[in-house]
Amino acid sequence: MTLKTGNAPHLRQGERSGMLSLDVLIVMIPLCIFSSFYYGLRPVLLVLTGIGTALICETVCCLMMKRRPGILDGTAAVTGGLVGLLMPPAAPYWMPVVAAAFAILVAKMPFGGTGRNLFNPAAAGIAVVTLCFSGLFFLYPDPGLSAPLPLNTAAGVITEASPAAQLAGGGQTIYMWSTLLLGDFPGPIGATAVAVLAACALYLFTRRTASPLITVSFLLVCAASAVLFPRVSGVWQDSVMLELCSGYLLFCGVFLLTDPVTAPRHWLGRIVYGALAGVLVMALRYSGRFEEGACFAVLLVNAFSPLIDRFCWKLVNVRRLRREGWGQ
Amino acid sequence: MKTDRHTKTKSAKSGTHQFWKLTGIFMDTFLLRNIVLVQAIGLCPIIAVGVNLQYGVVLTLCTAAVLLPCSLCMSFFGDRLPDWLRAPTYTVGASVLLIGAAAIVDRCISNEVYAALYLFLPLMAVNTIFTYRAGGFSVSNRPAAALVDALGSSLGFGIVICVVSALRELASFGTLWNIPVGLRWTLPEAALPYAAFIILGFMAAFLQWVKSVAGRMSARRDSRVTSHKAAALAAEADKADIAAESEEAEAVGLTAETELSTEEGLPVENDAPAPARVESFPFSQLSDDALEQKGGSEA
Amino acid sequence: MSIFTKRGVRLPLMKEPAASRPVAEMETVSRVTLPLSVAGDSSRSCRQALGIYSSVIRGQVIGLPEDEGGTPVLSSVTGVLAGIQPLTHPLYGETTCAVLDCMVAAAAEPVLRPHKGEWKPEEILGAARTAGIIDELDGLPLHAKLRAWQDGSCNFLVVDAAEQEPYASSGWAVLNESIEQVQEGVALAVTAAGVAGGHIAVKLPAARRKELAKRLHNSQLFQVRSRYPARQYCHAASDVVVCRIGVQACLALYRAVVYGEPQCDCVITVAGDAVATPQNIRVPFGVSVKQVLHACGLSSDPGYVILGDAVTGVAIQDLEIPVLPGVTCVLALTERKVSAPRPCIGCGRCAQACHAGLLPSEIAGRLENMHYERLSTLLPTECDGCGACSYVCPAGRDVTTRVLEAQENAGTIFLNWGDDDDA
Repeated sequence: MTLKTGNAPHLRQGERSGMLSLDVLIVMIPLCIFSSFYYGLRPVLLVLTGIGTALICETVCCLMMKRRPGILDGTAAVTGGLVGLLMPPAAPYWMPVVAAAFAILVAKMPFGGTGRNLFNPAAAGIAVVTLCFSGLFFLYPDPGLSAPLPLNTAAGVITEASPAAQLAGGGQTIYMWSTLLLGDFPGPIGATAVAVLAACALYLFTRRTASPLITVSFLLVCAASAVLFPRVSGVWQDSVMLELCSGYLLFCGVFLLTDPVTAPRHWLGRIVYGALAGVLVMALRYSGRFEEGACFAVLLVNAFSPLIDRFCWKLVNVRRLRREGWGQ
Repeated sequence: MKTDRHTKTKSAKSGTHQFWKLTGIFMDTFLLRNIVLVQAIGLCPIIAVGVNLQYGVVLTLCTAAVLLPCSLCMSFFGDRLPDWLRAPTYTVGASVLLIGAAAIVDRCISNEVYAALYLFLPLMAVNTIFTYRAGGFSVSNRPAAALVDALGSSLGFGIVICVVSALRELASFGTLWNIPVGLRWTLPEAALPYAAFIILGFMAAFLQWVKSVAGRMSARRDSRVTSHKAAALAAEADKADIAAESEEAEAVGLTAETELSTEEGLPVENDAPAPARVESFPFSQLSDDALEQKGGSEA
Repeated sequence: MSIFTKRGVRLPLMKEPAASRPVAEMETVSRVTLPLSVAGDSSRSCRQALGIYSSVIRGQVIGLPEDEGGTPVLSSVTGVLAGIQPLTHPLYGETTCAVLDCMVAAAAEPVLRPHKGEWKPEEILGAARTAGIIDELDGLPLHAKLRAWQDGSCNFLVVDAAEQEPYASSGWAVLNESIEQVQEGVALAVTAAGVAGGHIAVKLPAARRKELAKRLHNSQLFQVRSRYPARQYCHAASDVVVCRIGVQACLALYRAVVYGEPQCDCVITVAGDAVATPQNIRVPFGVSVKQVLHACGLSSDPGYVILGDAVTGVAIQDLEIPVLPGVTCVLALTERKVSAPRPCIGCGRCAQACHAGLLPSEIAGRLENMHYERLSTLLPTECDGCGACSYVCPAGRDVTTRVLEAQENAGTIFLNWGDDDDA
């Protein structure tokens, strides 16, 4: 008999990295379904377009780099899905294609593929679409329409200003809790149903796919900023409610910031990362060009992620480092 | 830090050797280690105003018009100046030359172009190209080498800025040299800096790929040549001609040397590229200084 | 320190059916190989005490220590000294071994040594030394460990029968057989080391624990509750320094002091899905893995034979390697459930699992990318190789191996990489 050799440990927990991506894909399904209640089948098709484009781009790149096609680890599908969920329901079909293609071809593959990208590819894709097609990107249809959106071209759809646009423009419309929780207001496909998003977040936290430290510190800082610098006159609860539920801030905190590749690994680093992202997102909302600049904030804070990790680890282990002779 | 004077003395080698050496320097900053794509020097004007092919050409001409005289002057008397005086010298010299160049652009070429370039034309005076080429390379090299290097740097910068500007002009305005090309869609946001960074990144990757492919091809060709020569050697070894044997061995040795140095795909047959590497770059200067400082601090 | 999750990992038990079977005895032993000297460890080197082809009885000294305080090597079987040969052992390294052909493996009946009153520490240490007791936890001589603790560096002695890793249940079997003697051994070890107190630490299902506790008259068994690798072995404040010895070493100490018996055999667990009857088996030291597997029977061709535990053991390819003190488990597996490694996705599970508070994925990443000058500040020297980080990695990467590699090379590859400590 021939005996094989291998490194210790000789048994593993059995979790595969594809399972983390699968969790996120599972969680996207209720978001799509919820959006289809309001807008028909079009949002689902947009998300599928995003996923399909991302998979095709990743396969092409892997073949060019002479690697085995790595779509089985699911990260490309997750990127495409996130890009699709951030589209407005009336978006033309080429928009998720452009965003997903940019995300994979520019923000992920040139850096080395899965696990080596410095910036969140989905955030990069959304950033380029926000920058280049900002007129189309922030046109959200009214969810109160009785007929579903047409599947081919949605050019003639009546659009409304989203809560984020109203806040940016100085409007004072206050929505009810139930409206906000059920997503009965104009917004991106996957970012309006707050109740569903909260359930998705809980699922991801318990499965340890997303780190709750990042999301909680991000939301706390955003809420604090909404209390301290409100854009609506009235009680602070209204301000917090509106700021957190408008735009795609909550989506960003649950899906974009918790991307394991670009987020720090240390527990203190994650808290600092979430807090910094909160500061940047709110700053871009108050004084940025667009009504929602969360994708740019994510890209900015991704650049600081290794530095935050290093600094926080050194901070927590200052005594040990001094003992070993690496004095500050 | 004293420069090695002996690199500036007249070499006793032949004129052909000189020519190939200079060609090596030129190809180095122009193509192999392109001043923008590989050394990442001089990015600012490309990203800021590289949106129109006309601006690109104008900036290239200005760079060349300023860099060539500056490099020549710094090569002549740069190493006689103390360290602290070199930077002000070439900056002031570049500024003076740029005043002239700006006047020419404004009066003779086009008023609109001058207005569009508003800040970035005078900003060329403190561009890193001058720091590293005029203030670094030229100071410690012969005038001919400095001139050729300045030419290579300007042309390297020029080719990149022209390509980037042409692409951005086509994408954002649908024109080329201000002549409409007839594109249906334009993307005005391609004039923003992020597009330039992305285009530069892909161009740098493309250059690396071309170099690797060329390197592989020439390595294959040289290995075939070496094997032919080895077979010829084996045949000739039957003859009791020691002189012929030693000659062949020398030729084989040379080919082996070029095999190593033609990794970058340079199609020369002599050992010309080797000296082109041994330059007292500002990088090596800086690291030498840093090493000295470190040695001083540790001592 | 982790706010929300505990450090360490939960390992599956997988100890049945071996744990419920009685301890088997090894019937036929043909040849044993015992190390006389270990390269690189001068305290373990012994010179040959007998000539080749002389007959030896069980417990007779075959190697006399070169050092003053060294441990003698005793023969584990009755037979003939066949020769001396070098051997590379995965756990001990380069060794020079004595090969003995075995005729009789069984031990004689023990005879009680007459003694009045309490045993003194020096007597206990002397008995441990003469009996050649080696602790199975780390392969070090027991008398040296106890003597080193006499200077007051530890406050509390723990006999580790926790058996945290999967498959291993030799400590449970030993406790089942002779827990009373182990308890007496604890008292002797406490006296010898001069510490304040001691107890037996276990990690047992509740039913077994109650059954064992009934047999102890006035002391309790401490249940280790933390995850693998366990850090808390007694109910105490953080300033109590705990020293650990193995349960088989403790039992051997009792038998050496009270009966004068040498330590010649140990109980090991033989398990895995390629073994026909997974069980605990008592084997004399120096028996080759081949003989052990033959005694337990193989149900199918093993793909991997592992010397040691499932998480920290070494996969061996040469079955003639002997089972020496320090090994408590031999596994024969048809396959390992380890997938091909993929790129790191940065999930941070390894950082959460690491009990030393390191960032294993960062260390491995910097080693692979050759950022050596920033590697030492991540303190790979604090790693003790528990394997928890590789265990949890969803990408199947060999993180532990990389961190240990960084630890080994700490002195060498970092020499010329500048003094940039801005890690």
